Amino acid sequence: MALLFVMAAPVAYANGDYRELLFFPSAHAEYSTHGGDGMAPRPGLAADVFFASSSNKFRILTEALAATDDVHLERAQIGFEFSPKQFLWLGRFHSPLDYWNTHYNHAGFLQGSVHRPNIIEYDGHGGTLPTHASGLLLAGERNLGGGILAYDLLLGNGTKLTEKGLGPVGKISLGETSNLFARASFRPDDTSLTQYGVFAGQTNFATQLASLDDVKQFIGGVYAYKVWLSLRITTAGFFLNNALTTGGTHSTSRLLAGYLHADYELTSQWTGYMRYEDTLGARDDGYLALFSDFALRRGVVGARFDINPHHAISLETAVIQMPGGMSHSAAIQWSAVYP
Amino acid sequence: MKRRALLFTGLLLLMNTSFGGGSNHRQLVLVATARAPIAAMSNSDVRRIYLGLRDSTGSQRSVPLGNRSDPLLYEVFLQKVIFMSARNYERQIISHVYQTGNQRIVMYDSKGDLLQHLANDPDSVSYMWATDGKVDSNLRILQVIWEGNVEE
Repeated sequence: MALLFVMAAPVAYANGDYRELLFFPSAHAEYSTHGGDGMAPRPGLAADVFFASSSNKFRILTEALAATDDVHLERAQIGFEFSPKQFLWLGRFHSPLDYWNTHYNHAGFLQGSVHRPNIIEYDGHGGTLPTHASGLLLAGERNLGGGILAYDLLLGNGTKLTEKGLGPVGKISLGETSNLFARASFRPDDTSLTQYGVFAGQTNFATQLASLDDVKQFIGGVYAYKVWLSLRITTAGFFLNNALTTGGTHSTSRLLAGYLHADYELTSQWTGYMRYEDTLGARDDGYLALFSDFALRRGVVGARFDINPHHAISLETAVIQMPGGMSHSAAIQWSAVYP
Repeated sequence: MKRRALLFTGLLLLMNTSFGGGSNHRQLVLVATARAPIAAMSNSDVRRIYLGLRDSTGSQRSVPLGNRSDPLLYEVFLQKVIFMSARNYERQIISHVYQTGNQRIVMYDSKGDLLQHLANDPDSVSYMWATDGKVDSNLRILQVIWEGNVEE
């Protein structure tokens, strides 16, 4: 790791080329009544490494996550800036869904809370949506009436559905499996962080489950990120249409899911936060029944203490309604960013 | 009568100096090296480039350098120009790099290092008190980005 830092320390060259490295380590312990091992603490360590390099009009972004239970390549993308603020990317990306998925993802230090909203849980970690996709991504932004209109259009190689959950497809197979995502967002003031967005996506999964022949999922949604002085609101609503085929029999289910997350800076170091997550129509959904950790409803309360600009401690407690009953959890997390 | 008025004025000035709570009129200026080909920009553009965004022309010629060598200066810059707390600002800068792969704004805790970078890179800009910018003949003040009273 020390060698990695030496080799990839942030560097800027006179011709405008540069490279950047961010390292997001975290450690947490969680107590939960869900999972069968009672209130036994479940510790975890994770290290997310992000590297970016820019030369002329080309840019490379890579991100890898090493956790106690898994190692993932989160992003590996090469982009060409064909005109100012317009990029064409090739590789593996964060799917352009809500604000949470593209702005925080595995950078635990940035998101503040210990856990993500359940509906946008990582696809390799029990999540139900393809939060990552591989393929071609067109991304850009334009000035619009004093604000900024940004867009993303992604044609992906698909996502596979296995006993372990969702994961990337290992070969190019657009005929059998594919992702198509489109997102538009608007910042009313281009120097403000506030933004509103809409997104839609269609995924044809490659199923490796004996019980399912075919799964097609449509995702539609809206999101908002709003800042009022010390208060930050992050919210999103999702509509899912899951079409399943089993032995020639087709079934379709529709559901709504959403969350409202509020962070409030209490002092220069303390931030309090609350989040409410809910679903409608999820209890009888055949697709969601494949994911044992999917919560129907969750309430989260937490506090974060920023020790300094690079380290923070978060404490979080949650009440969760699972299909099988209620559960409770409490978690403590240290997160950091270097350099 | 005239002598009394002068005495009264003198007392008022003395009281202002003695009991004014250390309030001081200051100017915050944007500077570049004297040979920099950079023109003045709007305060919105100053904010844009310090948030890691492109300026309103869409170019990215000016390279913003953060000046943390004076805590009061840094606080005034964030409050009056960026409109963010230091915690939110620094997290936003990291978030922008993480999301887009854009170049991170380099922060300087040493004024000497900052001046050296400014001298070596004619495309770079930074902010400082006008009193510091005026005494350095290697610097050019591009514009005043804020002025007012600060409590010291």
